[in-house]
Amino acid sequence: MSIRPAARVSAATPALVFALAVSAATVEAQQPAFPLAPNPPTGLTVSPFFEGWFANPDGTFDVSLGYFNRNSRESLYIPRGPDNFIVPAEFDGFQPEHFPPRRVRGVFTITLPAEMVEAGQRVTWTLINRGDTLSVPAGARILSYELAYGPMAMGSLPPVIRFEAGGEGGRGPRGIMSPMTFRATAGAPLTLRLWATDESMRATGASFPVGVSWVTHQGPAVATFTDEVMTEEPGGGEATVTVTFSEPGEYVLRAQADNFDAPDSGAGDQCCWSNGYYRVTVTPE
Amino acid sequence: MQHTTPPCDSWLSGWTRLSILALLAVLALPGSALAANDPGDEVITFTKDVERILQENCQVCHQPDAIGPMALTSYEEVRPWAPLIREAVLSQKMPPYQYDTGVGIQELQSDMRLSREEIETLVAWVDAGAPQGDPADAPPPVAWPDAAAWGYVDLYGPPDIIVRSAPFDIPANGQDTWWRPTVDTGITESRCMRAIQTKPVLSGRAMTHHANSVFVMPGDADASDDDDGAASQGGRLSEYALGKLGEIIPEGACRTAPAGSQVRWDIHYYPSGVDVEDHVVEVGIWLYPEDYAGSYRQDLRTYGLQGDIDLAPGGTAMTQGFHSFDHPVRIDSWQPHGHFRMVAGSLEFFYPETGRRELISMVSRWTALWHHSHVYDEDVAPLLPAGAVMVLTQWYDNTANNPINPDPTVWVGRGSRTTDEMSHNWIAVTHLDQEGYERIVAEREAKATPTTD
Repeated sequence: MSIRPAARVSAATPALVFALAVSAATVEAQQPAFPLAPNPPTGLTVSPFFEGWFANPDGTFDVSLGYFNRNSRESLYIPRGPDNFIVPAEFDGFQPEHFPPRRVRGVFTITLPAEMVEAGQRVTWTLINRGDTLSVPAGARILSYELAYGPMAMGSLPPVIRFEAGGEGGRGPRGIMSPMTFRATAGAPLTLRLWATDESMRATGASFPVGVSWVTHQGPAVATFTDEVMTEEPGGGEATVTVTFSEPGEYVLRAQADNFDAPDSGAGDQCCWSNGYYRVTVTPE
Repeated sequence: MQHTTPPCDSWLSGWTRLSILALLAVLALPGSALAANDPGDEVITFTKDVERILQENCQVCHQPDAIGPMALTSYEEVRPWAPLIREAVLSQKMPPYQYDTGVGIQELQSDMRLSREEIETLVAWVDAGAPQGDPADAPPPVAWPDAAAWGYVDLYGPPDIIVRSAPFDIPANGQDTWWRPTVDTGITESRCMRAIQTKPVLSGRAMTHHANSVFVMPGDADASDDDDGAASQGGRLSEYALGKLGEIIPEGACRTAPAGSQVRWDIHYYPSGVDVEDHVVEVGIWLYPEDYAGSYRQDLRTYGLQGDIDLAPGGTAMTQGFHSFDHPVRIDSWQPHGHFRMVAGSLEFFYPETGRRELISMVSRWTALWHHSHVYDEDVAPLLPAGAVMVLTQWYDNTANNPINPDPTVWVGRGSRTTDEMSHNWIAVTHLDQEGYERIVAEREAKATPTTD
């Protein structure tokens, strides 16, 4: 067995790779320090994430955005404003203010006009938290980041979300906004409902259950969701939830419907889930 | 050095051209310390010295209608590229086999690297003005096999079993997509596999990011193709990623192709501008003889690297994973896996009782364009005692210096898409017992003991 003396390798190695390739030298740097310290569960930052872009039938383009909250046990609240903004300012306003832990994909989209995309212009979302300024640009020019919401390989489509049975539906990260603004009183429960159905085009005819979850997208405090009811029958159906607000204010809640049980559907695959948004005005008790 | 036909993917030509441009940019840099022919040395010529090296190492891809961006099958074709060839072989960008020379285990099967002597010959030839020499010295031209041929034919003949995926229409555009059909194998008798090659049909090979497969048994209908195939009773059949040739199961070990099984595919397609209809991926299985049982079980699975992949715009990162076994094992092959931003990986052993570390393998010029399963020669395949630790490390570069980085301005995290990142190693492990471990150690020590004839 001919194990030769170990080269010393460091985290800087990748940066050296191509220079070393030119000189045909053996990698020669420092030993990596290990074990790596695991991240603490709290006290870390959240970064905005560009998921990709997709073309719309009207010639515009949508960019899909999510985030990565590095904490495993801490949600962050970053209100829109100087610490949470999108430029150009005309695209600012619908980004989330509440960031539950870990990587959350495709929580909202921004529609870009065709001429902006053709000019190679992008929007930039910035989150300033814990002393760090963390930004990401989002555009629709790089093919590697193209998203598509036609049938996936096995026929899966993002579930359709409707706010009333038989009503207008929306699907994908762009999703659909409830046509009405709900009203609630702080401390008093409000029941919300939607219809989330798996209308995929699978050759096998298979149908999968639809999962639905609710989160606070915008608002001065995190809403409390209880009594979630969702059918586990394949194909989905009606879902309800009870939500209570601790503080008055203007809220946007996000419902996410997915068919992640399908073999060609998963968050890491960027398909198949849909966003449904509710506007809620909460008045004091 | 064993020369085995490398896999060729037509889409690589674009990336290869990028590499060429990068190399052209450095042609002005000082050359290596390798000396040109000294006066009085026999002149190195194309026909006498160089053409054979090109035939054995380069022409499989650098021939008309193959993936190489230029043909290298004659002096007239080669001469204009001589300076580029010099730099490509010196930098070990070509042949595209990134395993580090000079550190760790060096004896590998299907090793595509040039020997030091071959590199020196090519460099000296260029430095001497790239003379043609006497045409009478030229070796006979090579009759190259069909690019769609099975890679292990020269070693084992045609595959004993070929399992094909259900056909799929690859879209020209759109996002990555995952095709997961289940197909029958026709296997009626459980047998030990000798070699496995997963081979996307050429028309869509460039778009096939990976094509993994597990055996599923009756009752496994709901099992998913998870990383280690544990959800299926049949175990993993194979793993394929762009550029990979295949896997060889060494004698003495057994990885079973089970009777009555089906194969569940997990094929990740990456659209690249061309519609491909009815694309199929095939897996060829070469079997050991019927009476072969093997002494120990071998399996292929992923060993993940812990922690987040958290690449800032323009940033770099490192991930690391640690794995040990409660019994001794032999590592038969090692294949790091990542995507566009991964640039290097290593396998080390750590011995807790002594604190000693040992570098087993290193790829410091890793690229997602070529995935190689580094199969160790049987006599040197590393032995890991019970309780010792595999230390797996990978490095990522999200800067503009990474020539295949699609966008250095965005954050990159863990995910399935090609633009996301992954951090794991595919490792084939033969699970030994203490007796078998000690026997292999003794056999190797006996071979290493000088004889006194």
